[in-house]
Amino acid sequence: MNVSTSGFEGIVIGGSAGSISPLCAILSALPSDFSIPIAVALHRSSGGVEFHKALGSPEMALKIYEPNDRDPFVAGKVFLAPADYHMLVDKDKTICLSTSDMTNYARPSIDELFETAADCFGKKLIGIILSGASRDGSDGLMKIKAKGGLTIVQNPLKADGETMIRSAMETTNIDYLYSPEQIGRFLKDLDKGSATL
Amino acid sequence: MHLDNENDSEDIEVRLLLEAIFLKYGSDFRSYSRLSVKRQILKMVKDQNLGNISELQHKMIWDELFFKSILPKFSINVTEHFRDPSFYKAFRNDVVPFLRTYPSLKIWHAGCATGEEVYSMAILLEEENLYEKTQIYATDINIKALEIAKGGKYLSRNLSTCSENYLKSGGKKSFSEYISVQDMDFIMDKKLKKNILFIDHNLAVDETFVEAHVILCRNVLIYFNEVLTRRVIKLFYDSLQKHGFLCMGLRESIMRSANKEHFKYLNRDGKIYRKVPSESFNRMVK
Ligand SMILES: C[S@@+](CC[C@H](N)C(=O)[O-])C[C@H]1O[C@@H](n2cnc3c(N)ncnc32)[C@H](O)[C@@H]1O
Repeated sequence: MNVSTSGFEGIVIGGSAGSISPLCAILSALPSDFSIPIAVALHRSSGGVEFHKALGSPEMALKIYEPNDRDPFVAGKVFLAPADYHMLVDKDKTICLSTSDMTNYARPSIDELFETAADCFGKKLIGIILSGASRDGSDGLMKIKAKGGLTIVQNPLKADGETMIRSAMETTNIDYLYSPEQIGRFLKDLDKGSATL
Repeated sequence: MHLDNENDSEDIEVRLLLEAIFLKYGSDFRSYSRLSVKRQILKMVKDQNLGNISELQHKMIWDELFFKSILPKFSINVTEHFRDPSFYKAFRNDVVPFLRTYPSLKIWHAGCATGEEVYSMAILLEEENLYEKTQIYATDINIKALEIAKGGKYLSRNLSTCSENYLKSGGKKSFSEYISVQDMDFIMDKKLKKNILFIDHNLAVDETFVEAHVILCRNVLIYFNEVLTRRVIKLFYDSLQKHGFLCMGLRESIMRSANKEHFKYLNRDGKIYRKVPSESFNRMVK
């Protein structure tokens, strides 16, 4: 298996209202051989078609993939939580889907993804919170930090929805506050071994 | 064996709790997906304002009333009429033509929860003029859910979603033709209930009881572990007619290596499979 020289084994990204364009900006910076598996949980009340169009942009070398239950969580594509399912990462590095109750009024919930990924990857995990008008993701990011993982949030000054970012900043001492472009570049350099932490 | 993950203490607690519940009350969640169960348990700990899973275990073991009140939280019964309309559309297009060729039909809904899926299928069959020749078996382990299913009574506030899903699924009339509304509730038409049997059946221990043309088991196996999943797939294989159809949830693929020679895709996106008759299935589950 391809293990990233960065030492990181997973990236989890959470976003809500206003997060599609920053997410695209981040993902567009990554090459097709990017070697850290990526999982994304977005609140998608905004609905189907638009969403897929935006995320299927040709600039993205990595394909967006909505997994089946028990798919192995691997690099090479971006795992997007399917609408109406919580997406969890199990300790054997497989995806686990669930339709249990909403968490923080959301399904998929960012906390569900972040907390389980933190249990799976410990300090080898990067958690990223993007724009949103909710406080989902804060507990998850806190757990990632507590386990020694790296925490990043989108710069709230330029985000459409600050609430989710500010909420995460209140509960967690965030490592990096970056624009989406910076996050993309940072991840790319990190994977190549040329980023400084 | 020594587990070297940092938070294995929590996992140990989960395991002990499931063992304790089984010993004390006989409810067996030990072969359910450990991670899903753990998430449910952690939610209970939080809701009850307890410090950890061991405290929850203490309460569950010593207080039967408490256990009974919290037991339903272990099962996930979320469902709706025409859930995943694209599935019903695929079923209409790809399965119904085959079903027309049989003189009579048996359909098994395994894990039917509160019955919405069963009535949805009954409506579809009715519209395709197949209902009269069909016997439907709908099973679950949750007795309370089965009671609701039998009653066929649902909340009116969900009606708009039902209608929307029904139309998207390729429905030919209007959802309102199959129900009668009574204040807060709506009730499924008696006609639809005529050929449905609701039965209590546990996929983890009970045996096959039917040779079905179609089995639907949607959004159930995602809560089972690998061993139980394999048992259930074998059970379905044995419970299907020669070229029978198996319909899974849209995010459940059974096409992992072990099953490839026993099932083939009929409709990939709809997760509709077809049994491939063979002699070798017994060998495989060993
Ligand atoms: C999420 S519901 C699925 C409902 C419906 N099939 C659908 O897709 O909308 C899962 C159901 O599986 C049932 N179930 C869980 N374990 C079971 C078992 N061992 N045997 C039979 N049913 C089981 C639960 O009681 C629950 O009603």
